[in-house]
Amino acid sequence: MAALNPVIHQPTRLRIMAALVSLPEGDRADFTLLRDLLELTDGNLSVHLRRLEEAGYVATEKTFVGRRPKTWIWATESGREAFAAHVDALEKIIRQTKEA
Amino acid sequence: MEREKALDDLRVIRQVMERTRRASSTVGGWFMLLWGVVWLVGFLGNQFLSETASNWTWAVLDALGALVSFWLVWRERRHGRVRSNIGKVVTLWWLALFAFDVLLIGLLRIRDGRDVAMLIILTIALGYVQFGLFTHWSISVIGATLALLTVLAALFLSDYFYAVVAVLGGALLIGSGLRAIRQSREG
Repeated sequence: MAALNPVIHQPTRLRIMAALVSLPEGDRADFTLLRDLLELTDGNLSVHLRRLEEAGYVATEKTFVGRRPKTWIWATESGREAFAAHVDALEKIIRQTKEA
Repeated sequence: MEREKALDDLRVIRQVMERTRRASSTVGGWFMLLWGVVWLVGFLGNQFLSETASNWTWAVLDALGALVSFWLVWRERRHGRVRSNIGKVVTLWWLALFAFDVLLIGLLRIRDGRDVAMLIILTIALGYVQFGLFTHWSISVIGATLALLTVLAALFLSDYFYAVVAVLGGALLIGSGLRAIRQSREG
């Protein structure tokens, strides 16, 4: 059986990674964009981002625009590689079960 | 893991990626809308105004277009929800194409207004086709359609060349811009 990534496999984290990986390398997404796009609460998104950050799959940067804090989030290189490997594993499962 | 669950996951991934791309490209639609209006008014000026008046119209429209473009970039940097380096690349891209046209017009001594317009329109169309190859296929389709319509207008509707180019090219850019803005709002 293909090896699925246990960190990315969790449904919310899968969607977070899909959103971040869809942006070109070097681009960063605002926290509120991810929150609204994925229909998550601030707390829920923060928890999953922390888990992904601990795994080294995403990185964050806190800045200010005027007086407003802004958190930028992006997928790291190892995050992109792990996500691609996870998608490969999903496709392999589909192929294997089709052949069986 | 079951096949159905794997298929579901891949479906979710595709949906999220598509929604993110749409939601993140807010400024592109506004640029197309802006330059679509400039295009429409400018070429209608070529068709219906004297040469001097249409030259002045273009000068004012280009200056306004550049100012509004700068404002859009500034607003995007301040309020945008995606920080991207692509804006600089796009600006350099269009400046390079503009410099190419100026050089070509000078070197080949192109003086006829219609020839100059053709060259500029086809260069813009080429820019869209090339840019679409690196971003989204629909931008390439816009560029190719623009080139095709321009050539057809030059061949078969030469008396109304500017008017046809104004309406078709302008409508194409404005329509695409409005569609992109709507999609980015829907996410």
